[in-house]
Amino acid sequence: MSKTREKYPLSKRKIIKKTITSSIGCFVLLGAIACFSIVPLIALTNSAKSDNTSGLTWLLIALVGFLFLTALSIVLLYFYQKWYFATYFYEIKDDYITIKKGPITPNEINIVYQKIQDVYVDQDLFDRMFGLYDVHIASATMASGNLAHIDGLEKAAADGLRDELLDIFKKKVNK
Amino acid sequence: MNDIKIQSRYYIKSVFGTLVGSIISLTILALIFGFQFSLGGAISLLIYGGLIFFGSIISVIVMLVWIHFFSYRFGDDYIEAKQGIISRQERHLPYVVIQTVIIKQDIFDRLFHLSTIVVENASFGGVGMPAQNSNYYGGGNMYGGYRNVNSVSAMMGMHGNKFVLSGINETDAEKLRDWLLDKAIKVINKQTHQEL
Repeated sequence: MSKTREKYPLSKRKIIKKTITSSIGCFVLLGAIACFSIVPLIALTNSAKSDNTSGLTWLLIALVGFLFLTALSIVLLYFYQKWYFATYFYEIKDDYITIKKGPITPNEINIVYQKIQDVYVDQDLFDRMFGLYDVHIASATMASGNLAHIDGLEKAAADGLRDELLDIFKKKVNK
Repeated sequence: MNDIKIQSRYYIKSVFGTLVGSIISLTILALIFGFQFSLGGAISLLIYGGLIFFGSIISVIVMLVWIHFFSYRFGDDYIEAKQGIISRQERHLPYVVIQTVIIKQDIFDRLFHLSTIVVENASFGGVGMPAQNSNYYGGGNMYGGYRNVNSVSAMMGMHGNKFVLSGINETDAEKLRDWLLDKAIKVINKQTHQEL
């Protein structure tokens, strides 16, 4: 773990928050698949037989499958988020900041302090529920908007990190 | 830094990535059309499968030709890139205007121990295709080998506000990152002193 992360640690609540937000997406996707697959299956069964018993069976199978897959996804997402959390790296170096994320397909961004255009802190709805903050470090490129942010900090850590970055920026520019 | 080269296994990775992409696409198609167990389903599967496979081969060939005509040099003051198959371009990215240096790896890069380095300036008026609208040539895998982190994925060469170099060794990417940042910082500091 980097010294910067030790000084401004990520909150473990981030794992729960990210698991919940990802699970919502999975829930919607699996629900849509279950809905779209059940209708042709019932139609297929009904065309073969005259009674509706088989249709109900398919409905039950789809429901159980949906619940099972949703539960499995939540467990897998939780472990993925734990892994993501463990490999999350950010470090304030002498001349630039490095942020590296992604345990499977890592992306590392390095921004020279003099090129920083904006440092800002924000919260989305779930961040507000979990008391988390994101610190963004924007340069003049679009990629920095996507990659250069440290998300899941508690207020003290977010404020401290923001202040330190602005302080370094001021020193570098006035050097 | 000019000894950093695109590794030959990058081409293997590109073909491998494309094949995996094709197989995934074919499997999805098989699930859609093959599920019906009908003659129509099988014919559709064959047609679409053939088109995907043919498209993959064409993209790999285009990528290889593109790389053949692409050259780069890390000069004293800027990165120089020459590129283009039919219409040729020569572009320069001065170290002083470097905004970000990004290292990224897709799943196949991890398997083959390769990295992609992206150097960005703040120009959006650069010659060439805007990087966010393209995701092949440099990716090697034409079926989403790159996570499309919006503007981070781009084709090999200098396009829009990016210089993208794919298929280099992981250690070379780190060496190049440190060297580029060092260059940028030195020039920026020199400029700041002169202004004062």
